[in-house]
Amino acid sequence: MRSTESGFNELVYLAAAQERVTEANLLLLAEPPQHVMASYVSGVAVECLFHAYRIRAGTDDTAKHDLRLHAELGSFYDGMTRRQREAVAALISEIVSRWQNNHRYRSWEALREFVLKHKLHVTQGRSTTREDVVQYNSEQLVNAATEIISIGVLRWDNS
Amino acid sequence: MKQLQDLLKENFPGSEPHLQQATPAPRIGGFLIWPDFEGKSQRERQSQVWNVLRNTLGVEDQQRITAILTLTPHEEQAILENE
Repeated sequence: MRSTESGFNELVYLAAAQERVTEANLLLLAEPPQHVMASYVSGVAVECLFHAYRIRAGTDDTAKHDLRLHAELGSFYDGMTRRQREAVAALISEIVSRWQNNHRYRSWEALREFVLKHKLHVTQGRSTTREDVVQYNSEQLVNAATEIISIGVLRWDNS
Repeated sequence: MKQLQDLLKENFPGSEPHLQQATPAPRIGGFLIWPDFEGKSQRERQSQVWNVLRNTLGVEDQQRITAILTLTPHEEQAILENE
């Protein structure tokens, strides 16, 4: 079993992906919900998943925090049908548009500005309530991250 | 693990919990496959699962759970399709 420079092997990353995505969901269930940290943690969960796949594929970590490249380095799409690849690519796009590694430094207001600047509150030409844009963004992120972790873990277990 | 399995079956009638021991033990995680998740977002499903876990398990037992990932049987089948 290969390990990275950090000493983590693929199973550590796979377990961490599941733990982080659970934490992201629990942050949204907290009272009050912790939208900023849930947003950050959901992207980290996806990074952990792709690290696990990359280590298993035997490729070096050159993706930094580029989730699309992470997926390619880990051969994440290998064996998927065209329909599956399209669905997964859409999920990754959703996450890439809403997540940045520097979200961990953002205040609630800074995340709100990020969402508004990138029009991430606009869906099908209609904007969500401007007061709720941070909530909307974090819920979309956590949903997409949970879905992709489910796909990645199930396919890992059955490969 | 059996306690969690029974708890999920009782609260999600007709579901199939596929749990396994995580590394390192004694953490537990897995999938809950349930047709009634159809039409619900992942966030709504997690909310439903964790409402049950929080209302029935102590904090220490909750902390042993890595993740309960949720799918419908149809989603599970679609994910496992291969080219």
